[in-house]
Amino acid sequence: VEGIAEVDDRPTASKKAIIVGLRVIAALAVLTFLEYLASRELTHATVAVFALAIVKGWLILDYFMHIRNLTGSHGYEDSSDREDPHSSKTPIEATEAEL
Amino acid sequence: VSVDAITLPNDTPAGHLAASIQRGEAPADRLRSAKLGLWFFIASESCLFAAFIAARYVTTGVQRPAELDQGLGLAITSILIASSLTAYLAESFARLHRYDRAQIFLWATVALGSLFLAGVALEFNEGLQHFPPSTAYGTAFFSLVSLHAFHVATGILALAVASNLVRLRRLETLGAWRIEAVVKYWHFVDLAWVVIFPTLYLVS
Repeated sequence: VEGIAEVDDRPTASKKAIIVGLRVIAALAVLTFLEYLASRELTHATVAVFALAIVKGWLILDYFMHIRNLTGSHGYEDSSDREDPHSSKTPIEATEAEL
Repeated sequence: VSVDAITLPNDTPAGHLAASIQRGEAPADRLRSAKLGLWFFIASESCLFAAFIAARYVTTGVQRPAELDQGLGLAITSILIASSLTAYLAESFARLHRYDRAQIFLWATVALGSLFLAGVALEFNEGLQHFPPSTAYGTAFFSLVSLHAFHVATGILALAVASNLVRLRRLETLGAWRIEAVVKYWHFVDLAWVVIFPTLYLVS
């Protein structure tokens, strides 16, 4: 049973990360091209290009910079706090256990 | 005055943290403080970019010269966006402790960042002929793009250092955080360009 618990789930996690990254980058590319088209086709393009820029900015902040992790139960929490991907303990918990 | 000479009261959060760092304890607290510090740094840098962007609208409104090469602007923007993907993948693989792959994506990000800087150099060459810094738009363009290019250059340097840390396997104490910090900074540089690109090239 312990052997099953120690199965390496990193390939699945890698694939998931790649898929998320590709989706976000595709959205950013499409929005950038729409900005460019709006600038060329519209007489007053300022509002349109900035609306698109805000969406792009949010995609980067949310998916790439993980801004939502700023509001955790400890004031700041992040999935990367887990140093060992196979451990259920965060470094905070691990340090407390060591002490 | 040396740093060692500064003492903080132990009953304050800063004093408690300083004491724990001196004792070499509480790495988790240090990690959390470092992450929060990075966000404060990003917020302060955002204010700097906001001031330069505001100056562009105050001095020239939404006017832009007809000679501005929007195609080149779009090309360098695409390069920077692509570099965000490689940076994101480097961070993701580092979190999974796959440092060999993380290193490959860090170097890919360095390459794309350098390509972006080359594109900026081309844009500067064209800009000097059509809208020199002595014009109102030229002032806004060269100051804003130079400020951003400086951040890209420092980002490239930081990515190279992070990649070297991976190569030397010096990530034991703080794990993937060092890579995450550099990559977050790189995403911030990308985010700044998301606003600069329409400000200089697209508004009308």
